[in-house]
Amino acid sequence: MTSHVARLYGLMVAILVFFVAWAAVVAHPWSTRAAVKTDPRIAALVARQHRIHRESVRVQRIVDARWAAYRRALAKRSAAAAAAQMTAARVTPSVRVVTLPALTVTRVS
Amino acid sequence: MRTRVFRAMGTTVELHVEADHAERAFDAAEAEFERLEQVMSRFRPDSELSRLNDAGTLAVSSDLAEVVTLAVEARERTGGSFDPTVHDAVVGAGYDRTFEALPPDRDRDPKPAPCLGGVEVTGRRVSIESGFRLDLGGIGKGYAAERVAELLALTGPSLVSAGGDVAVRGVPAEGSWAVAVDESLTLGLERGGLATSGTGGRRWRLGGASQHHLIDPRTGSPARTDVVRVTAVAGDAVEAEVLAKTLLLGGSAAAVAASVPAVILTEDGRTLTTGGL
Repeated sequence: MTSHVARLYGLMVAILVFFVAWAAVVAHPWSTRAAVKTDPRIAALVARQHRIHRESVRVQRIVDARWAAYRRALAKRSAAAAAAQMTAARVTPSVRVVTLPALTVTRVS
Repeated sequence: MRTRVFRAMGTTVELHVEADHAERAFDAAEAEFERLEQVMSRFRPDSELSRLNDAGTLAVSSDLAEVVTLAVEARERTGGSFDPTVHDAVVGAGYDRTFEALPPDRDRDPKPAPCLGGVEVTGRRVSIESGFRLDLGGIGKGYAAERVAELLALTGPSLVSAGGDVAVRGVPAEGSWAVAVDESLTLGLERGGLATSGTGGRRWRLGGASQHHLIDPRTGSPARTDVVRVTAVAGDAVEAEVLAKTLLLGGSAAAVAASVPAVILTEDGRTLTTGGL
């Protein structure tokens, strides 16, 4: 009788030990973070991402500067064009006393 | 030369085009005058100008914004001799309806009104200082003449006369556009605009005193000047209109001293020509 009970306990302990061991193996306690970080492909991708981000910031700054310069130049050219247009529109009148038969008579407005 | 004459903006409008056919161009020109009158008339209660005068501030059409801008610039250029805010002074002098409907004599005293009110144009938004209203009569005709001359120029060399305001485009076969100033003097205009302002054309009586429509913005009353009529020539009809009014208000001595192309008729009957005429 005593021997049966002991065997039963022994079996239960064995099953428990099996599951604990199985859980321990599944958890990969030997796989450390350092191992992940040192993956050269991931590191290369991260470095490339950072480099592209820095480049995009630099390019954006250049584009902004060029756009601002273009807007300043455009404003200058627009002002010059408007001035030229006004000058052109301000026709120098050409008039003289004539002896032609009058086409029309200017009236008091 | 094709010609059409019709009434618009309270005056007689003449269109002359050197072309074989101009009927469609004349129709378009007449429609344009009607459109611009609906924008700038102070006598039509539903015109854009009347709505602006009632509201004080209004988002307006590009035409009205442009004419108001031209008028304000002219006021700055002339030191206030030309002023678009003379509306209430003109009405105070009795010119409160179309000239055709105006009784020749009424028994009430004239009421001078302040002029030179604030006007601000921001894009198409026009604001007028409270207590002032705009009258774009003269400058509006000049603007309309220029606009319509642009339209007619597509058909051929053309002349547009809106009352005293003359705009030309191109040169006719005769070499210049012959515009009679009076019985003895005709001007040949090749380029630019011409306008005549005078105190004799539109007159009426109020409270026993003779009145006219040319307001001196400094007094808010019809101008007292020794000049009866000025015909001025400038780069366009708008500029000529401003110049004619300014020369008339300034008097004969100042008009002669200005030395711009002009014909000046004084109240003692002298005809003075200046500016190389």
